[in-house]
Amino acid sequence: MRHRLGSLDAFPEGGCTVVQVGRRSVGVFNVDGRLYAVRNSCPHHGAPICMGQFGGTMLPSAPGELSYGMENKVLRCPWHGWEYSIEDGSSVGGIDRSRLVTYPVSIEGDDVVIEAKGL
Amino acid sequence: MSRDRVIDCDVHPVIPDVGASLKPYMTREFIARLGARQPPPAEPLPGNRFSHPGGNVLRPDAAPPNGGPPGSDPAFVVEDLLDRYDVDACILTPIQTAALAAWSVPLEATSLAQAFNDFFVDHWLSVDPRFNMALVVAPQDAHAAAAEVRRLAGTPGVVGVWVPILDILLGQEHYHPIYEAAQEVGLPIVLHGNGTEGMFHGTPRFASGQPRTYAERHVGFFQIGIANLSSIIFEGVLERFPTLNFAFTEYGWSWAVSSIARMDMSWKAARREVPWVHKLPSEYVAERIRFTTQPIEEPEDKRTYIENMTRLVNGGQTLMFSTDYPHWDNDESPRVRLALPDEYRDKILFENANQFYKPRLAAKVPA
Repeated sequence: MRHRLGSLDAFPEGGCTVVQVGRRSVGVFNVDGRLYAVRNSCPHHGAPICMGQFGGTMLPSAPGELSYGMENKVLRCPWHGWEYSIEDGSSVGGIDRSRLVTYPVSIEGDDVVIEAKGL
Repeated sequence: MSRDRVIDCDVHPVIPDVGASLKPYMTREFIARLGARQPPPAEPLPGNRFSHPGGNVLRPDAAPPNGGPPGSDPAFVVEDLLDRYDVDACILTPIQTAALAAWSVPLEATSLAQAFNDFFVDHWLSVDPRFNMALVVAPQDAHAAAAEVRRLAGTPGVVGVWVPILDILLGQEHYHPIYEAAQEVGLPIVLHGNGTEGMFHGTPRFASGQPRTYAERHVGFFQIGIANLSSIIFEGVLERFPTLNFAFTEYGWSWAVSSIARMDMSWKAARREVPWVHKLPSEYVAERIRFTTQPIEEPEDKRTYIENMTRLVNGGQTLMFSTDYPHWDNDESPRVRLALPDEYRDKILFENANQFYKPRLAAKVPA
């Protein structure tokens, strides 16, 4: 089912905007010229994950080495710090088998639209 | 019921007169240097920290009939332990050598470690093919320790590298040369309380302050297990040395249930801080870390406790049986074996150790 979330102007570049869609809270990220939408609920304990830090992280590396990456792709839950990719909802580094729920998002005219079931 | 297959992973051979026994294995220089030293002219007081309230930790009933302290006559250990309890193989962990962790001069500690190892190879491994040993290294000089590992790696019956722990956590760089050598020659690292914890500078301290009694210290050993297990995991030792395995001997193991769960929890929250940890700590433990069983704790509901803890620690993979002969808190009794859950029994009594100490041990035990 398709949901119109509002005009693109309401989702400023560079951050996350949280909107209510039916029963669900949804976070829309407008970063690097792309839109991403995720359910604002951490797969772990249901925390409002979109209130957490957003950015990159340390990628798996060899002992004693650091490698920063996934810039503007990683959402970190404000409760326990679990990290998920906003691209596909997978956990970073395999810390969790569950995925953050993500929604296909598009722009129609001036409106941001997500595809989601059962909201 | 068929007989149990048994590998005892913690047996302590004892040298009655260390100075005289090691002399044939030391150079003239170290005989001169160490032999000149005298013990204090008189013991002014009974043993202070941490003397067993019964006198010492050795069982009087294990004293050899021909004299000497318990554990000092290999032929009697064969009779009193291996034959009596039908043990297929055992790992000798010479407890006296662990005091090397408290030795102040690395050069001397290294020399003593060599002498200890040569003594046990000559006087014990030759007595019975069921005797296997963990060679000891003096960890203060990790490069010299690595040389000792390489020197003895090819000796039949040498199946592990005992690293007495310093006041440096095992995940840290200090130990890397030892790990590199052990991995290169295919020997696992064997850890065991060194008996000097909380007694001398340079050895591990107990958490939060200094215990006063043997009773407190006997409980507190698992603090050192907890600290070093998480250090090994989170410092990435198992990634840096991808085929090196570790055995925690006599640190207990019920603590590992909680420790492993807590490490998993920490890793999920803080993986970005330790990005060299590539999977759940519990997975590393299942694959690469082992714990010996003695002393099995005996709460009121012993059966439920052992069954649940064994299952929760993944004991079918992680636990290896041990008795701690000839020490007082031993688990020699067949009652201990019978307390192990049937489904894990053979794994714990035999197979896990057989896998862990392969290939050197395998030739001596039934397949």
